[in-house]
Amino acid sequence: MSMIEIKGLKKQFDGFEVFKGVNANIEKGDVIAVIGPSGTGKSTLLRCLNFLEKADEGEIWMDGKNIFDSSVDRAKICQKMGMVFQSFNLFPNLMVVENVMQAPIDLLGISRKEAYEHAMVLLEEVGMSNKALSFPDELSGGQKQRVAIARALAMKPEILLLDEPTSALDPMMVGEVKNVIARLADSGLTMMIVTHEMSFAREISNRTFYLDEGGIYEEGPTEEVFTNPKKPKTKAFFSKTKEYHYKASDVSFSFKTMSNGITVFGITNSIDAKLVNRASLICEELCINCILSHIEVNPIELEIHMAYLENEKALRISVEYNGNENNLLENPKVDEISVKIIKETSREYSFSFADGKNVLTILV
Amino acid sequence: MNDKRLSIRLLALLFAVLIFSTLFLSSCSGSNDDECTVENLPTGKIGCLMGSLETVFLQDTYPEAEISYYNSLPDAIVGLKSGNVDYVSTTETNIALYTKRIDGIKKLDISYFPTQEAFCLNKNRVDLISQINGKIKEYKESGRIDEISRNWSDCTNYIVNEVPKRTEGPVIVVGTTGEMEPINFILNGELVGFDVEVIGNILYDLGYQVEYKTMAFGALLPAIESGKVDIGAADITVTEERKKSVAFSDVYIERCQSVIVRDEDNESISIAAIKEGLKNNLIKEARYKLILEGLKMTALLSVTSLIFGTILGILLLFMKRSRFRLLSKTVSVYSVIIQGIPIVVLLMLVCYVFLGDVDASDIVVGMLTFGMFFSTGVLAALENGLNNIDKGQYEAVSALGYPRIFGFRKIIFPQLTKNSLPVYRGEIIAMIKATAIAGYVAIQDLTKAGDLIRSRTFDAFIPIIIVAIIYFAIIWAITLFIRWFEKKDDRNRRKREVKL
Repeated sequence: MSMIEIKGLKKQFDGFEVFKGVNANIEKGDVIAVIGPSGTGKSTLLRCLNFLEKADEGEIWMDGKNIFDSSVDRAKICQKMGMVFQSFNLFPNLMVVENVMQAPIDLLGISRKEAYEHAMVLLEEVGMSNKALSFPDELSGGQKQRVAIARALAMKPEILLLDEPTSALDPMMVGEVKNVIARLADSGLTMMIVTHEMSFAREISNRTFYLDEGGIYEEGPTEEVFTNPKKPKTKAFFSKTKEYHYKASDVSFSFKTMSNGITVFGITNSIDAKLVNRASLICEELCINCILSHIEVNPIELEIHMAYLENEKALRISVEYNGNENNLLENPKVDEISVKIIKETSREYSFSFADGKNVLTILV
Repeated sequence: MNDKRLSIRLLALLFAVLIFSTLFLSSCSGSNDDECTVENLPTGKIGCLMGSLETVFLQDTYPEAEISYYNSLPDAIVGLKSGNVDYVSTTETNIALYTKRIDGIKKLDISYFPTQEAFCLNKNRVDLISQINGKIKEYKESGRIDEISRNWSDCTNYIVNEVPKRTEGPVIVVGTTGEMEPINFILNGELVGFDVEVIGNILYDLGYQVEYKTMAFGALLPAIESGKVDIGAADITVTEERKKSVAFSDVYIERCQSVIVRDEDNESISIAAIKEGLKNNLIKEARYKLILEGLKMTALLSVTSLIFGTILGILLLFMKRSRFRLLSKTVSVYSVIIQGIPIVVLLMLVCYVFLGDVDASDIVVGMLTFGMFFSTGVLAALENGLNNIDKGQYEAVSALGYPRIFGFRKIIFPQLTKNSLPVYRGEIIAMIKATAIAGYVAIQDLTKAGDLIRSRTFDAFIPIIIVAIIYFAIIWAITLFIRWFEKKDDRNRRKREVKL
């Protein structure tokens, strides 16, 4: 028998149907990656499991009981499901170790001493025992998330729900948290993780739920879903995640949108943060200091395409812009420093002109 | 440490400013010439009682006269002494009384605007009017009115003759104010005075039982018109306007108006005078006891309101956050009402409407009023604290498997103090200051004690300054205490040791 069985789960927000009837089984020891485009209810699925969102219809069976039955003690069910939030949600008034030991004392009725010892073991596991007497506001994001994981584990949950555990972290901090989660996955703990980091999802999970169209659109062993998706939307999703496109005119160009997009692209593909930063810098210099300031057409239209070349561990950036033939990297009018920055950060670059389109291709 | 020294210096500076301004204002008040005559009277500012008849006369006779209106004669005299007005115009009876009682004022030798005083009756009591008129005539002829008037003319030693009373016969309700010494006032707990003695004797002679009702002068005529009172006896002047609504008996006495001015010879501005003033306001007649009792009452009001308001505020919070819409709506309405009514009006509502029929003590009235006032502040402080707690905290509590209320108590509530204390501190101070209005319903708090002393000594400044300093000291102390507590609380939070 499955550990958790979801049957016909329906949920809508202000008339928008997120789930039109989700069915799924979670077996003991499963590590399930929940992936999909944004707005398809990945987090909502987790939050319906532990009552943070109220499902409109459907049943979730656990230990032979429908947890939506009014006779079921919801607090008890929650205790069996640990939850790790994107924003950590540590208790700011409690020290790290108190954050971990408080719930077992209050809810499992164990002594403070026992709770403390168990908490220290868990903190050791996540590499935070040396910060046991710190307060959350003294920790970095990665450290906070590791404490939050320890806090969830302290209740000895049967399943751990992780809701985008690395999304709020500085790229430099992601690694330490991913390591902890990967170790937990290896230890056999049942887990369900919502993440945008495809390679991480692929690395730790044995099953993948791809969410779209109001439910689990495609589901299967992780390797199969990732390497050989069967349905069109899944296929499109996986090809899209490997490339980044940005199209704008001089009026609509937003530096913020572009650089956020590049950052997200980097995270999704688990690209080295340094590489992403370099690519971002090149795009910034190229768009703002070269194209937008030196192309004399109205309106200016530019397009950025970025692809990750996994084998070479390199990013290929191609920038298209309109106007007459104009290789900005060889144009004496263009700011020398910008050109220098671009040339020095890139591995190779080339220029072509066809059909009124200038194309600069840069390899980072 | 630097902070502390700075605050002490600021405090000292503030007191210095207060004291100097007192001296300055007092010395400015001496700008009046002694040879005041009727001719130059209108050039100055005249203080009058609100609604008194001579104001009309003054306005007609001296159109250029500047008139300030006061609610009571003691207030007018304080205004005179502080230089806000140059003359106070009132009846010669009042002048006789106050010039005897108060130093630093004197009567000017002029009299004007003679008035005729009579008893007031309902227009339907024609029978009673003629009976009374007969008696008035008899008393005037026999010289009895003059004799009674003499009994009450020496304002230091009254000759109190007991008025005979009947225990049988029809009852006549006599309305008066009880606040017009020596005409009708309370002496040793008894209603006495010229008017009381005259009407008491007349009604005895006519074979009536008498029942007295005291009320504000303004309420007298309506009470007579409506029949709640049979006879008004409160030095009521006969006017054409009043004749429209009530009937008058024959005139039983005539009075004149005069003015009082500052008596410069009797007043000097010096350190000695301030010393004397302090002595007069605090030591004489053990007036400091009034201050102490007032302080006790203020403290008692503050503490009971603090406790009651805090408990009520917490209760309101739970009601507001409850899942039952009706409860949370009730709290919202309650908050809007309490915050939408001036606190004085709330006090009077509690005193006269909610507890109108209940024999409630001053403390209960004050505690309810200021407690309710404070409870909305407590609610605001708590809500402010709660709003500063991230939604994620509740989610974490719920996800860990805490039942709703238990989790709130264990995890959320301890986070509240830090966010709520600063607002709570402000609300406590606002509430303590609000208790200063308790005197409105005759609760003798600190402010009222200052008023009482002022009404006896007619000193405009010293009682107010004393009261101000005491309030300031209390609030200063409370602020320091809560700040200390906040710091201690913060240190406790950061202790970095785990209790096992």
